Amino acid sequence: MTAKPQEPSVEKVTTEEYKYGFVTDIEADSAPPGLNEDIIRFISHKKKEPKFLLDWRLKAYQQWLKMKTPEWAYVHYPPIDYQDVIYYSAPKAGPKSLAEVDPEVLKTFEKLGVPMEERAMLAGVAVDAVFDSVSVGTTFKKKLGEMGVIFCSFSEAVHEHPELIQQYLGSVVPYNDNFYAALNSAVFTDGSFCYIPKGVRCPMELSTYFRINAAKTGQFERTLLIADEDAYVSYLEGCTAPMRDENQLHAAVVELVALKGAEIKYSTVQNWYPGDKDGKGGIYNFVTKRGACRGDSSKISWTQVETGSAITWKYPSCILQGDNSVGEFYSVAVVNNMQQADTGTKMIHLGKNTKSTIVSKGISAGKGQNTYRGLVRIQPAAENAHNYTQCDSLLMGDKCGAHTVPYIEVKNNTAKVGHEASTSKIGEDQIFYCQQRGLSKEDAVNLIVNGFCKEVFRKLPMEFAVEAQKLLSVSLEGSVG
Amino acid sequence: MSTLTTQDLYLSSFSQLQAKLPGQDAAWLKTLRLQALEQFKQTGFPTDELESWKYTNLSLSLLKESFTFDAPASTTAVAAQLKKAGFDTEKAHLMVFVNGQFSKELSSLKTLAKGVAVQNIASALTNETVKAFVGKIALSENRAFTALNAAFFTDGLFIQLEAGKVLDAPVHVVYVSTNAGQATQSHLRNLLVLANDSKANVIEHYWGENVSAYFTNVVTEAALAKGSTLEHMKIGQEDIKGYHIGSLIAQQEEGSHFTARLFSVGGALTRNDIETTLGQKKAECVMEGLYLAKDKQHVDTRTFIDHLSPNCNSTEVFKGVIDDQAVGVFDGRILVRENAQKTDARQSNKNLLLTKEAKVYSKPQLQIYADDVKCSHGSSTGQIDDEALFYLQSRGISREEAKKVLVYAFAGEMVEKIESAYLKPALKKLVDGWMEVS
Amino acid sequence: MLVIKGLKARVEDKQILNGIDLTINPGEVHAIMGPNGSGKSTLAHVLSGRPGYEITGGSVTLDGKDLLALSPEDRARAGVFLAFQYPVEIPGVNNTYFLKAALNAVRKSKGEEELDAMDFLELVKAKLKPLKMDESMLQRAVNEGFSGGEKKKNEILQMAVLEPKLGILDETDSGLDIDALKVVADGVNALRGKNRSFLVVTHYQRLLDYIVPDQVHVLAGGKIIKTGGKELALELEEKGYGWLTGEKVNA
Repeated sequence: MTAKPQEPSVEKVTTEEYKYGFVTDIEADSAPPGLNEDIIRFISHKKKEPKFLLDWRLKAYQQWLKMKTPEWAYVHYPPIDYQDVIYYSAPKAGPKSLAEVDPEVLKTFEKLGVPMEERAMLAGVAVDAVFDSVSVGTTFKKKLGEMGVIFCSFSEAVHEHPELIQQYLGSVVPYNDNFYAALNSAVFTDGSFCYIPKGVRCPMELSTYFRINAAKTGQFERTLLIADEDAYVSYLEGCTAPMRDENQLHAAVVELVALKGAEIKYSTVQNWYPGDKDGKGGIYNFVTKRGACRGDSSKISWTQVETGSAITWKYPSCILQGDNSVGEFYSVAVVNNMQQADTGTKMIHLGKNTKSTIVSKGISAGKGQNTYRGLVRIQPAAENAHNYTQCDSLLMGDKCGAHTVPYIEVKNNTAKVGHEASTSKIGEDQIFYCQQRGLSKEDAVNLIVNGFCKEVFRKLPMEFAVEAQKLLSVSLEGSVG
Repeated sequence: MSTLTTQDLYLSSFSQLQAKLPGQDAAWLKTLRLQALEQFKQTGFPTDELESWKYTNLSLSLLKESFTFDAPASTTAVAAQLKKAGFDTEKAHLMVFVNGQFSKELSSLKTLAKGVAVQNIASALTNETVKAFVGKIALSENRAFTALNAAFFTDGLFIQLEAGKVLDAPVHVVYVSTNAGQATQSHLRNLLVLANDSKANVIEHYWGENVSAYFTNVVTEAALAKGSTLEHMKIGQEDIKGYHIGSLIAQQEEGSHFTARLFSVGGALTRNDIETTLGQKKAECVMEGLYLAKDKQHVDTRTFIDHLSPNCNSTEVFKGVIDDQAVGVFDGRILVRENAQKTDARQSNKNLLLTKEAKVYSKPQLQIYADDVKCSHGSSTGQIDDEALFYLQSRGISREEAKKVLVYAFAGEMVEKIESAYLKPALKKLVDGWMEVS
Repeated sequence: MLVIKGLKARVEDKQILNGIDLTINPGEVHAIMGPNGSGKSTLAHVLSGRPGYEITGGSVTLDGKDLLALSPEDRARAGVFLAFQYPVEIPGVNNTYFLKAALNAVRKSKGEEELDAMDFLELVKAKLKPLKMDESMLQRAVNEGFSGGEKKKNEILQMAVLEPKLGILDETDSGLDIDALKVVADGVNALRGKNRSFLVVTHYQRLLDYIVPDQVHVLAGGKIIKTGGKELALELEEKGYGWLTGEKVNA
């Protein structure tokens, strides 16, 4: 990177290495690369799935074959050879409980800082960890079980609660929703499942960690979360991947269902490997996340901190069906070096008195390109709907980009819809002010950027907020020198 | 009629019309028309699958009609009508086009200074400036209506100012459509060329008095050289049978000032594209507009400001009032390119919905590739403030009257921004008149 | 303590300081006065290392240390504090957090132990009182939404916490009503001591009624054209700057 003449101190080469870039050496039981009906049958067979699920996968596959890669996002990458991806890779040991989990895997989690076992107890977090494509273990199952909360791997839910799977799978994100969702529906290997029964406030944060490990492996997890009437749950999702030269594919689907009076808080800290400073390697993150506020007075809140991935294509959305339902989207997206992110949300107002809030903070550094893309749609029946959207972009360095693409569709005059966006450079006067009080330039930048993201961090559970702040400073290290 | 056959119709009409179009002695224009026709052949009419036409579906409106190229010769009392509308036409250069043809009888130009040309473009097709600019600012590539216009335009306005020249009075150009039993169309091409430090004030004014449907397709190209100033106003008063598709495309050099204003009240379907390229440093542009729509009108405004160079400013404010079952669309895009440091760009779109069936689609976009910039945009959509309504009622004002007061308070801001004494009273009347009938 | 010799500086192509000579001894308060555009604020900025200025000559030392060679944060750590004319807003950053980070950065550079949250809070609360500042101010974002008076008080609070060797007040009186001015001046006076010096940059004499200087310098055209005692300020108040600069400029 070359320095701008007027501010010679800005931009030095990033020296911070990707902290989570290690490879766990365990034997994988993998399918050969490529995608066809046989592979899908193989996955389904491996997982001993009921017929309805296999049929559903095959339907999705047939649909996927007819679909085209979406090209409207502001992200650019060479075409992906879907026949060169491995669609199934399971750790061979075949874990059934934590005790049986390959110690290597556990060590990996330890390195990741995943709170398992004692650490889990201390942190009061129940964790479902998806390692490559198989869920390795769920803690706190018993305690949750007593309250009727089901929290397990998706595969387990398929066997133990097939009726819930059959009822809800694809009910928010249909198998033919979009290219990546269809691909996921055809080949998803595991993920998390969660059901909170009527009136239960889940007493602890539920948490899933996703990690891609084997080379050339795609990760296609699927999360399904149902909050029954008046239930409450706060759910955390973390992601990491090892450093690899090739790009790796991640296409997840998350479906949330909130019934009458239920509330779901879904928080993500996404820290997949972003690639090196020249754009080599990194994760392609094509994710479909959607929540349905089915019942009256239900609420779904998405909070995301996106610092990783070479490419992020992700629009966690809310369908506000129930009257008085509430949708929220709080996002921090950071791109540095060659990263590209096209992320935002869709708020579809169908019910009366529905309310949505969107707060998006985009930070672009290096040669990164950051796009907020959002849709707010007020349908004719949505009387007195409200939306407020605030999108702010911060630019660091003159090689990056920040883009805002909102779509506002109002079909009911009782709606109140407001959108505000601003883009500016990180304030030189703010940096100087901090320096004049004795802070180093790097600390000043961290302080200002954290302040910029405050509204979003505030929405994260405590321990996640701390992690998010750390990630932010690591991601931006070297962007202002 | 399907899109395909409508397209075919244009293609076949061309061979018949070719020899009758103006510019038979201008080889460049013949080539331009043929190229444009070829481009149109390739793109066809836009569908709502195109991002730029996402909210305006032509197959349900414009493309269902078929329009004749035979323009009936007709006269109309333009000057009297303008007077009634509140324009003191004695203070302007008046040019009138009827059904795409220049009407010398209805026009009245004041004496022009040396170095100032104001004429109809059909009479200037061998002019080197016309040759140099037509089709070079508004490109036909991937733009069906611009291509159609290039192939079929019959006339339009041509203004050329030499360096330092100032057009003292506004040029008020009226484009009238008037027909009887047959649906008509007109394709108009305007060209405004301003040399260094020159100044012009141009009003494009569209209206119709029609029995049958009609289609106006207009393209205006503007070249602003260093330090020049162009104040442009477009008044859209097409009648309810009119389809209006218009583009205003400008290119700006160093330190030039471009103001593009739009007042759109008419037309069954109106689509306006307003674009400028801030091609050199310290250029400035202001885009302002008000669109008022009722019944089943569809009004679509698309703007694009291309910040290509450093130290340029742009300010954009568009407001819409949508009544009955009408639809309003605003798609505004600001692009700040890598080199355009110290850009200051602001954009705002506000919409007022008066009924349950009215719809608004707003898409304000920022695309920014430079860091030392200040850019912001805002969009808001809502209805008349109930509390304000009640407050006025509690002071004895009828609900209907109170509504009008509040709508005017919203829309009137755009009238208040206008400084021109020539335009202001007429535009106020226009907005008032719109509210009276609605 | 502070020794400025032949200091010259410019912004882009415009020469603003044309050779400033000034020595401030420990415990002294010096006032810099002058008409608009004389270079008063530039001097304050250059001393604190604000980017955008080019030093074209001269030297500045603080206790013998070359100030001009230091980064802005190292100057701050060495004991230079600038009370800004326009304090900067930093949205989302808690005032207490900011002040603690600053204090600990300064302490760390001196090899002192960093303060923990409890000790810090105690310290800062004690400093709040004389400034008549409400504790709720600590929980607000740095200068965000502060009134003009609150911003200036916040600057003095920061100075009280950071305990610099040299406090530079850049037009601290601008935008203050008389009550706020008194509070700010009292805050500054409370910090006066035999090891702390002040450079008070102001256009008006008014502030000097409350912060009484040992010396007054008149700056014009980027040079000190007259130096005197506190009575010089009064003379300026009466006669304006014109009698010194030879122009008709009214103070």
